[in-house]
Amino acid sequence: CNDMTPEQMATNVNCSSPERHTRSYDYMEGGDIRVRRLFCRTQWYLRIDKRGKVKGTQEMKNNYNIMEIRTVAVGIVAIKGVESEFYLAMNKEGKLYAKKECNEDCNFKELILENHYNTYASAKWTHNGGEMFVALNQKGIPVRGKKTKKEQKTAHFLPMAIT
Amino acid sequence: QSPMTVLCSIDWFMVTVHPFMLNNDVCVHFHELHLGLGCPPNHVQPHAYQFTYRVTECGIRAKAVSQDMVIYSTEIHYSSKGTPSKFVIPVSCAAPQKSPWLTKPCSMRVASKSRATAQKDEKCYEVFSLSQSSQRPNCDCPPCVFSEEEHTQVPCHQAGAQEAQPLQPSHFLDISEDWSLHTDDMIGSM
Repeated sequence: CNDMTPEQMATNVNCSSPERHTRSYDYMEGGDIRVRRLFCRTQWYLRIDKRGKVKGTQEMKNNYNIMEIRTVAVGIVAIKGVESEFYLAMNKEGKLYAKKECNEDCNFKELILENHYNTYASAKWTHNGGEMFVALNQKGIPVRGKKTKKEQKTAHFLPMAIT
Repeated sequence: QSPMTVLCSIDWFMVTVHPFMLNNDVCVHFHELHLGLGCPPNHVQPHAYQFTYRVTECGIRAKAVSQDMVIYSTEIHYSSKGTPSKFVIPVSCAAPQKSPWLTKPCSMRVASKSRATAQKDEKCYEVFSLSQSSQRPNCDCPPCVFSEEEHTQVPCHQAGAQEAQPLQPSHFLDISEDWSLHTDDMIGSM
């Protein structure tokens, strides 16, 4: 079907590039965009609601937990709520929030761990030299980046394809 | 340990190669390898070089072969620094479209049999592997790659090194001669 060429992949690398295919949940389209639910190892889905509040939800069939993960550079992604059209962002203090216009706060380093879970660390901010991760605690509330570590379950996510 | 393993998911493509991936006389330095369109190994250990990239990076090609399966393919490029040797090794991997997990490594088989493996064994997603060595002991790499702290600085001895080098007992089969055959085979099957 879709043999993706480097040229196709080179498109859409900028997070301000025009949106396309945001509602077609077909990851093969649009080059370097994946549409996923980010399921935290604490059993919560990352959700950005219509007012831009970032929180976990345990309801799987919820459009506010569908994220568009766009590669902006090798290893760096921007994560946008498809329904809310807010980008996930982390400020200097490590607080998760959401933004309509993406800037460097919206860039996250995506890594896969040996346990096959993924982590998302702010590409812009660190705390005392340590990375600050997107994390949802046992109650589904975002953990402040300063308190997160790569080893913690709260920072482990599985990007689930939309079926 | 196998000379090469390929794992993938709908998000990730991961190739791990052994410094003696070609044969037991050639110590491949990580500088001599890249994946696809110039992607270097991003995790280098003395006994393994790992390429971990998103399936959308490095020019990795994706092909949906069914509703449930995507096959990712690219090449490992080996370009010897000390000799004119160059190899292009096709690597590919099939991932189920619905699972977020990486495929599990298969039990290793001879490359020429791996086609049959990929087609017949639904549980086993690894399409291509070079390896004949699952039943063989682990490789203890020679000092050229193995001095723990300095392995990135120490030059790696090249193919056909003439000085007395503590080469491994030949528990890796020499597979380089069969290269073109196997690789064509694999391309043909894609």
